[in-house]
Amino acid sequence: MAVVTLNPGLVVRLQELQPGSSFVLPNQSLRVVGSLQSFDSTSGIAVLVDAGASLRLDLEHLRELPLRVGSLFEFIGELEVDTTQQLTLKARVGRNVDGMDMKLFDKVLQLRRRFEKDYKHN
Amino acid sequence: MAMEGESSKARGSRPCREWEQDPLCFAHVRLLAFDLLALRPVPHMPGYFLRRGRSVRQVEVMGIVVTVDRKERYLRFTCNNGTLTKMISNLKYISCTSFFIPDVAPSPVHGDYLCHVVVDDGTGCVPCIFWTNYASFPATSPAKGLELRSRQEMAIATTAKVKLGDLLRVQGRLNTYTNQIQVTVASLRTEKDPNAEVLHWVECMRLAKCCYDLDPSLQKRPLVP
Repeated sequence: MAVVTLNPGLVVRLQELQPGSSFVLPNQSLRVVGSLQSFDSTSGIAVLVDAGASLRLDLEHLRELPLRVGSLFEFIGELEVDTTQQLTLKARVGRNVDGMDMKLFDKVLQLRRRFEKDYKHN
Repeated sequence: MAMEGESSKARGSRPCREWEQDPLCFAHVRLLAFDLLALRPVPHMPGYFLRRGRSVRQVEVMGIVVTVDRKERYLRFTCNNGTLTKMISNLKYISCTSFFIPDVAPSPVHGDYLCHVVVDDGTGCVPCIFWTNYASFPATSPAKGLELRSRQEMAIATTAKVKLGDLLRVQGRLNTYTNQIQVTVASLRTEKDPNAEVLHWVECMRLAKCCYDLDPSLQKRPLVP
């Protein structure tokens, strides 16, 4: 059986994906949540938005995922940074999360990061 | 006794006999992936892992399925002359490497016998293994006959539904394979509630601070009438 070498998709909010951020690294595995703003079925390129920030997604590997513009989606994938510093998440896993409480999500995410940091520090 | 003392010293934890009184040893401990993957196996005690000096055997984790791999337990092939059918185990879990069944025609394999799933909760990837071949281990299973058969069918049906992107709640026993920690699944459930994972994170943090990190001897014991 193959040994698993997958990196966990770090949970980030879209507004944290700014140039210079510690999350913005080529091939960084990320998990993002947001509302699907647009989707081009021919190219497989979609745009995810959340709290004023947006991210380009490559959904080439998720052709079977039923997508609906305006719905909340969660994607896990690897970040690609091109020469113009444009970010694209090459998604490998996705799911619909309509009904997710984003305020609760944001609050718990901060708590979880602090918990993880404290755990590793101790 | 000397061995117990030695292993306890090596672990830097309380003696094994005290574990029997620690409920953590028998509960499904809810852990985030980074916490689970940091558990250390106890030397000479397979299936026992240590978390801050307390033993953990069973866990509950939740995450998004990022890998699904279904395998049959046996790889079946026919030798060159075509008269002898041989079955070998294709998994290292099975101590028996090969055996012959010259008089029995191979029955077709129905369903999957092993489902290997990796769940990602954002802090780590936890490999989970789900055995669905109950009928192959009649001696180790309390179920017999029809019950055994129905359990196997239920297990196969459960694993057949697992797909990439599902949010899974997994309960199972810890063990290691090729020095990597993994969960042997006892039960799994696909969560449909979009807030389930967030609530699981909260519960993991609360339990860690209020229960798992505490010394069991200092915790309040229930009143016995």
